[in-house]
Amino acid sequence: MAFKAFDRRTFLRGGAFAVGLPLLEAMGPIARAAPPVSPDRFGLWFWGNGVRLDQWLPTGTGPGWSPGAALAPLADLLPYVSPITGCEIKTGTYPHHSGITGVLTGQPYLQLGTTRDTIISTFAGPSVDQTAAAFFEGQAPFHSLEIGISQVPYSDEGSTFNHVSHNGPNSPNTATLDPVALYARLFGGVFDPRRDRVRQSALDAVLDQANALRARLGGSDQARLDQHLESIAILEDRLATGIASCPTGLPPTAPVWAYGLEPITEQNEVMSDLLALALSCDLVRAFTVQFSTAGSGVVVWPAGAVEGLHSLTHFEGLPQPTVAAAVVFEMGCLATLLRKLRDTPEGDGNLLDHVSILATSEHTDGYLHSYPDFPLLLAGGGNGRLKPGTHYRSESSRSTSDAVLTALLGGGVDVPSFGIDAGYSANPITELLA
Amino acid sequence: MFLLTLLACKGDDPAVRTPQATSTDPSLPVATAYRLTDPQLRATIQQVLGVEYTGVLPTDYTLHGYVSVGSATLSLPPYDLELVEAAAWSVAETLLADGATRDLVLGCPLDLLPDGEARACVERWAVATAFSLWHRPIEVTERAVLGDLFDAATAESDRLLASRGVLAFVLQSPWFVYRVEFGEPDPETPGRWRYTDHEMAARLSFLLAGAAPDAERMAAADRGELTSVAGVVAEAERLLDQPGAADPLAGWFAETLDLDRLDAAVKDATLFPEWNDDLKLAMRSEIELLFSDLVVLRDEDFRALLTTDETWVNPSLAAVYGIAAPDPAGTAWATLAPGRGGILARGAVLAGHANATLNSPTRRGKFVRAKLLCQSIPPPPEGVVASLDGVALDTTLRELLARHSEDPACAGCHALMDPIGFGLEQFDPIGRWRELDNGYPIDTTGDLDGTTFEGAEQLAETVAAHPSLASCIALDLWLHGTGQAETGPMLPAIDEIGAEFASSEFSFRSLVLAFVASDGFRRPSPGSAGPPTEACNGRDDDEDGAVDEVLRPCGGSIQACDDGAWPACEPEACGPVEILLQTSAELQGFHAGCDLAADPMSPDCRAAFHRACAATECGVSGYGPVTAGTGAVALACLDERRATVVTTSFTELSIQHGGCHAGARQGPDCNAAISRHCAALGLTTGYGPVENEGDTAVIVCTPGAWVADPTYPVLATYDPVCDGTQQRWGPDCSEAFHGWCQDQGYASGHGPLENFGDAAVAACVDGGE
Repeated sequence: MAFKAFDRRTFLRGGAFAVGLPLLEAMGPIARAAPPVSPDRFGLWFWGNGVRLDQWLPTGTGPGWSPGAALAPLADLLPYVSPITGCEIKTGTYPHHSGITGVLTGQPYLQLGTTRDTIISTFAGPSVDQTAAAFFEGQAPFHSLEIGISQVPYSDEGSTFNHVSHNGPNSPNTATLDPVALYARLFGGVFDPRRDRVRQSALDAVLDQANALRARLGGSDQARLDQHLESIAILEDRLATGIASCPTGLPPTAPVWAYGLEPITEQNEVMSDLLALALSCDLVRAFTVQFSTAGSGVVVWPAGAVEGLHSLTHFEGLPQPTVAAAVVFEMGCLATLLRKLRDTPEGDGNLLDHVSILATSEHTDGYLHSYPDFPLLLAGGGNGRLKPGTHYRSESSRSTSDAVLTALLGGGVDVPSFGIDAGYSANPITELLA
Repeated sequence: MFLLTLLACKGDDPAVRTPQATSTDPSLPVATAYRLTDPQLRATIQQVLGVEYTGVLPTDYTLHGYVSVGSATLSLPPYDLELVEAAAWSVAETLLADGATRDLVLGCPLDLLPDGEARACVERWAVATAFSLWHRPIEVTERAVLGDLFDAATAESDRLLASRGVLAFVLQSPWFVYRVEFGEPDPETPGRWRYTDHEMAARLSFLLAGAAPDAERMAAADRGELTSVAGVVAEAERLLDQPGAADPLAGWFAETLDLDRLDAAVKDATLFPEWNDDLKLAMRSEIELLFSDLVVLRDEDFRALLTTDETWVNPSLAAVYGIAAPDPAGTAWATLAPGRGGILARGAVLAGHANATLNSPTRRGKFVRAKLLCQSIPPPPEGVVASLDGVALDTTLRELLARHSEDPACAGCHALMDPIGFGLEQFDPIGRWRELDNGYPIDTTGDLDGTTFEGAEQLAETVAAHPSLASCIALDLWLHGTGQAETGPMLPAIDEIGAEFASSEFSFRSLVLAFVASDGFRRPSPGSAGPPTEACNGRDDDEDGAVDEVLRPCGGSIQACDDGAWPACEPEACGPVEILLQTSAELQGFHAGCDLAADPMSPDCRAAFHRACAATECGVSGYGPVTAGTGAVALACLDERRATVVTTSFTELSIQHGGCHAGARQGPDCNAAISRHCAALGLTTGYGPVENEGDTAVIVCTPGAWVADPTYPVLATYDPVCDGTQQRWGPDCSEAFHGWCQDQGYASGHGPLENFGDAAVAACVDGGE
């Protein structure tokens, strides 16, 4: 059999400012446009179980908005945050499942079966972070990053309930929960070109074999092998790009559970640090922070909960003060990340100026499983593409896809539309775009 | 697809199952690739390569209660692929840590071999390794892929990195990462398909041993024994009798009861300060140990789990049960006082299905319905506030829950759950016995489908006698064992297995055997994918135009399928001459006086060489160094066919050559004396002495060796020092004789037997036929 010639070159990045350097032509298959002064980036920040709507809605629209109780933790970040209210999911009404797939893919979920008293489903298409990752492919060493905050185990309603980021049906991107492993993955690569070339050779052989196997499989299994082949190609691209040299501090330690309580705050802190570092070194352009999954049973004990949040949204007496406190806590965790990005200088500003982050959940009110007035936040300046600090309220129940498309365009992900059929949008919220 | 009987909550008879099958075809389309689960990957790597991998692997995914069902839908997204690649390299770099270790694993001194032989050695090892990790015969073209990869990677790096690359490829292969099953047309039942022998070996092994089939299972598959019901049952029985057989099955039982739920169970820290990870783990272990011991090892009636008073507790769980800890330092067997009963009244169930401060008869009842009777209850209507927050608790929980039966919106469903849970009200939210609830006496009467009971023991008996129990457990095993979520059309067949289980007095072993013998486990639907994987059977299974182009390992070599059948594989008790690598420290363990750095030819070192080889499985003696070094040397070890140890004396040897005597105990003259002595004994030639003490000299004859004269000028081309001037006998000549003999087609050689001028006579061993 013929092996590919190893004409790929490795190069070392010199840190945060190396991205503007002219790139070697010899870099091989990755074609790069001249990057802007600061790279474009798109991020997704997801929390499960929705909000308490009365506490969520801001007062005032446009630039002069004021946060309600839920968004109070973002008080010092208001110039960077645009709440989007009044939008709704247009792709279905099944509890949880329709919401997460509707907002993140602009499509209905793909049902795989039924279990207990509910359904099993997966995403029918890629989640929005992967739309961005595909657009940015080849521009940074890592295709995308998926970072998990809460470790609470998942429910059994399919990948829709297990994971936020998806490449397509049954192809979830598992969020990394271990900060030590994440650090090692991002910064711990050993620069060994001889070994990397042998890794390439081995991967080439796997690719050939997987291709041959694919041809013999049935339809749905073939799609699984397609994903496998795509994953090999992504890793081969990374090997061809070489490892990054990035000024890092000491490796983190993993926060530990104490007295049966999950170290949510500490985990959010260390993961947000690592994400800010990865972005400042331009290791990745598309990322997902999975604070918790759809219908997550995370016990938000810092907010006074002694039961899982999903259970609380069903069973706590109205007006569900613990659920409301949990949302405040979750927004505090989002604020931690945004603050770290704001406080990391880059180019003419800071990291938060050069990113577009969509923060959302899988429904509005967990108690009602409602979809109107869906919780959506847009954070960051998008390299000047966004008008942050503006509360946009739709009076016509616009599609959540309009908001998602706006977030993509703000991140420099130049796509004509988002979603399909009832979830289709080619209609961004112009009020939020510069 | 429908799995559990969804109860309508309207007074239907819940014991009647009403499957909503969407298809009437009893042959279901099935997945052909199952991603190995995290424990399966680790166990197989350990079993085949002896490496314990402790790094991160892709996360498993539970569907319908089982990761095996989830594994039928999973691919390798980018991050998961990265984890697999990293694991493959980590394992390769652990196993092939350096050149010497690699040579031991591969069975050849790779760096000493010419290119073609090095490739052949790697191919032999890689084909054998792939055979075990991919659990199927290896195609001839795949051997070439392995060899090509080695050559290409050697050109990029060196033979150590290249051999690691080959192993990393085998470990990243989709044939390792997935269990791939195409099946084949069943020649005995036209129109139906069956899994092939090797596919059945894998199905049985992953189910019952949690890992890929071992050598014994693969041999049974090679013999074609696993396509018959009898062969499958016999192989399953062998697996069930293996030590550790209970572990994978206990894993199934833990999934069935959803014991993971305990991990996330939260209890009020004021009321239950003892609630911690140690206690949660002890509760989980108790159930797993009870199942392993009672049901798998002792093969007692499965229903004994519901009624047994046996337990396995550590001190914290013993405190919950109010008994003295049988082992103050760990987990041990004990019995509980009467009144508690089996697993329904143990911590895992009681605490896993209760709230943080209060019991939940509803959840406990739902657990019995869902997990033991396979019946599902619809969720509460939207908008129902089920919280008891703020409710004045001036009565028992049972009284509070009375409103479930008073409100018609609740009563239908709760009548199916609460009365079961009331039977467990004698136990608090972490499973402790209690006399009073909130200060009031406890009423533990309840009802399950028309049978009334009082207390945990009677509840357990009622569940044990329930007509849905046997088929529910059969369904649980079917789901896990097939990985198929589409059960609808199979329900009659599953019920049949359940009926067999019930008629065997609930022998779990009988259930497993009935399941693996069933069509559901042995047959895929016709041609759901394919063509079949090539086997050694005289057919072109994979429809690629070539018949039986497959290989398998046999002993240290590789066999090709011949005329539709494998040649006999009865490897000789011992293989060819073994090249043994020994470090200086290891040799000193055999003879403390051996100092490689000072003199590798010293009598003490040659004694150490001899002893080191004699300590191997096949070796009776050996010589060296055939590759020299101060930190380690390679030795040639000879088995009993090639070496005969002879005890003689220096007095005797001096008769053969006057230069060899008690005052001159080794060297060229002694070599000549020993060679002549062996020849006189009819044993061709020999080397030594390998031991000596006083007048006693132990020598080793090499009968059948080929004796020839390479001459010193030729030997000098192997090692320039061995030119007859700088050295005539010594470590460099030892290497040169070995190398020259190898080039003559022998495995090794020693010398000089005789020497004069340019003449340097060698004895070459093992080869030349």
